[in-house]
Amino acid sequence: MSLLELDRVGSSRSSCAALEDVSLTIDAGEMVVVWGERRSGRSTLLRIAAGIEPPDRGVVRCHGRDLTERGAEMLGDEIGYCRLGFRPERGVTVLDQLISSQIARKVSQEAALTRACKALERVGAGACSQLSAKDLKTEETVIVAIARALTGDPSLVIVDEPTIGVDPLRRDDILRLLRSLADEGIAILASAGEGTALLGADRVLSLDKGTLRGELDPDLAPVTELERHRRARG
Amino acid sequence: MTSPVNWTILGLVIERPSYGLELANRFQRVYADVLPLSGDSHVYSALNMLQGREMIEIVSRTKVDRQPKPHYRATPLGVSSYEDWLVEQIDAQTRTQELWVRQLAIFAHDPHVALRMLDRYERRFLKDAGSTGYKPAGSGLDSREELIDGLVAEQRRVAVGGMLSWLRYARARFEALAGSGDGDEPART
Amino acid sequence: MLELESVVKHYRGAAEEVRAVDGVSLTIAPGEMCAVLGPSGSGKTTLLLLIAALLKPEAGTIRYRGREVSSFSESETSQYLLRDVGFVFQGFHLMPRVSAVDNAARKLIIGGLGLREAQARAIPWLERVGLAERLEHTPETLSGGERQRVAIARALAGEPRLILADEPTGNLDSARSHEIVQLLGSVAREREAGVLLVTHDREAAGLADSCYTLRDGQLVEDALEEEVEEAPLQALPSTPRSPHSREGSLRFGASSDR
Repeated sequence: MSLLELDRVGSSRSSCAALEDVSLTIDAGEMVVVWGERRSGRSTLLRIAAGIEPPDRGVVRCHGRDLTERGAEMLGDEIGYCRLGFRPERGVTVLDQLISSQIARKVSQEAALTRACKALERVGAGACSQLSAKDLKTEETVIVAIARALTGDPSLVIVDEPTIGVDPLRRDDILRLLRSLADEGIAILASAGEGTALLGADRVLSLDKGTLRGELDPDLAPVTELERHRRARG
Repeated sequence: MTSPVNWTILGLVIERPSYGLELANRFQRVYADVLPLSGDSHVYSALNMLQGREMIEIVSRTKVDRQPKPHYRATPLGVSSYEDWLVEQIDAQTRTQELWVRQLAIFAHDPHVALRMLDRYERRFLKDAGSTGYKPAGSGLDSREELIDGLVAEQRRVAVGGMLSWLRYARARFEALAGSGDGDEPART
Repeated sequence: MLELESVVKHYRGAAEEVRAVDGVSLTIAPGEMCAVLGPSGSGKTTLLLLIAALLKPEAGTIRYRGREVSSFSESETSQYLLRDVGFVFQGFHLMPRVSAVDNAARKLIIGGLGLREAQARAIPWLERVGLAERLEHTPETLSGGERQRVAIARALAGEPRLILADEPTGNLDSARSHEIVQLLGSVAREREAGVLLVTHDREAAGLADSCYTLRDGQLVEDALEEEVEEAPLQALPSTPRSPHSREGSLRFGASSDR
């Protein structure tokens, strides 16, 4: 059973970013990147996969269970969605933000603090812990958002355009971080708008006008087995 | 002088003046995977040709096994010619790409076949797109190798992104053709 | 109570190395409140996190009541944070839509007490910080100062031996700040607990028994009073600011230790 499964998902909420018959599975430890131009539906796809937005058609399942049934409490734990555009309150430090978001989920202060420190250390953002959001460089904003997702100890981290606006020399560090998380068994689903953000992905899919491309045809299934076998061998 | 091998050897001399055998070894090490040679003789004839065109000159003769071997370095003419040639390669790349597009476009009379070709191209691009240029940290490259690696990887990834964008455009064009009622049956995918 | 010796913590960023704590030595005696000043991002929080066993130093030792904190296992750290340490942060960290009593009792409940007993223990602390009339209020209906006092009550209800406060007065006006720092000092003396107060507020720092500035990762004694500014390299016994006697001695950070 896959970690996450999108089963013929469709969405017509926003006419310029509609999704049509999208099926996709993600397994533990895989890094999957969905490439798509603007308005291709890639952000919508990621929000639906994270359970933030319900699909109009089709089902999203996490560990086999329909996301819309499980509700919000699961999201914080199983699936970590990286909100890159979030603007926290003035004067709140990175560490405080990471703690507050957990306290809101009823985690104790001590556990929240412990997990926040671990997460910041894991992504290499320890030096940012006392800075406030407005003082962060773009790449620091991204890794802090990833740290925030990691505090929930997720099995899957979803990040929308992890490298947009990031200095080209720092960009690969972020992608390698995501790859290293995948190597530890956390699945990664990311979107990209240009080829350079594809580094380290196990699978790259492309989204064109709401349709997902790149998954191998069912009648080439034997080849798919080989691919999975190759990946499993490492 | 059009052979890329000649220009590449000139580049090696510019990078570090040396004698024939060392240049041949360096060529093998740096370029073997993209410009395979059947033997070292190609290197020696290239050196003669470059010398004839005054792009390189002999500076001394080192003694290797009691045989004097010529030691080459680039002339100012050689260096400026090399730089010009590099810039002109842009045109060569453009021509190659255009050739490819025209070869694909022979399917223009049958948009459904063209669309199928575009799908196949896209899957081929996506197949290893993620691993393009990916080397785990600590792969033991020195800084020069790492620089080249990074430049090459970035170029490939940009090319992948560029191709994926182009495929979108091409698909839209052929779908428009297919949709305008050309009477063909949809091909099996 | 708490002894730091030549503690070093660096952060290795992509482009540079940040020497947040670069050879810090410090001692806090039972009953003592120690303030550490310094601008934001200077490493003060890093110091707190090292003491809380949440970060491991590259070098140096951190001893809490004789035990080396940096070699705590995860479960030892967990117990340490629950039983020995009380945190007060600038961000309060209160559970939204939950009453002051329940917020203050939270730590006790996690430590294994039943709800009723935890609340019974938390309430006197809430009264002590002046929130007797606000027990059922949720954070949304409390002022910044009141929220901070709930956070303090939560930290103190667990009867910690070591109180770590990171900019606790950051969101408060000066009258409130004064009250809160005084409260921390009183509690420290009563319970023979140690308080480490990290702040950029010089007035608040002035209320502490001892005061340092963290500059370039090193601790320098801060001359808040009229004392002649001493050379940071010398170790001198300093004049106690409070009338209470202290057992501990003060040591300076550490160019001399290199």
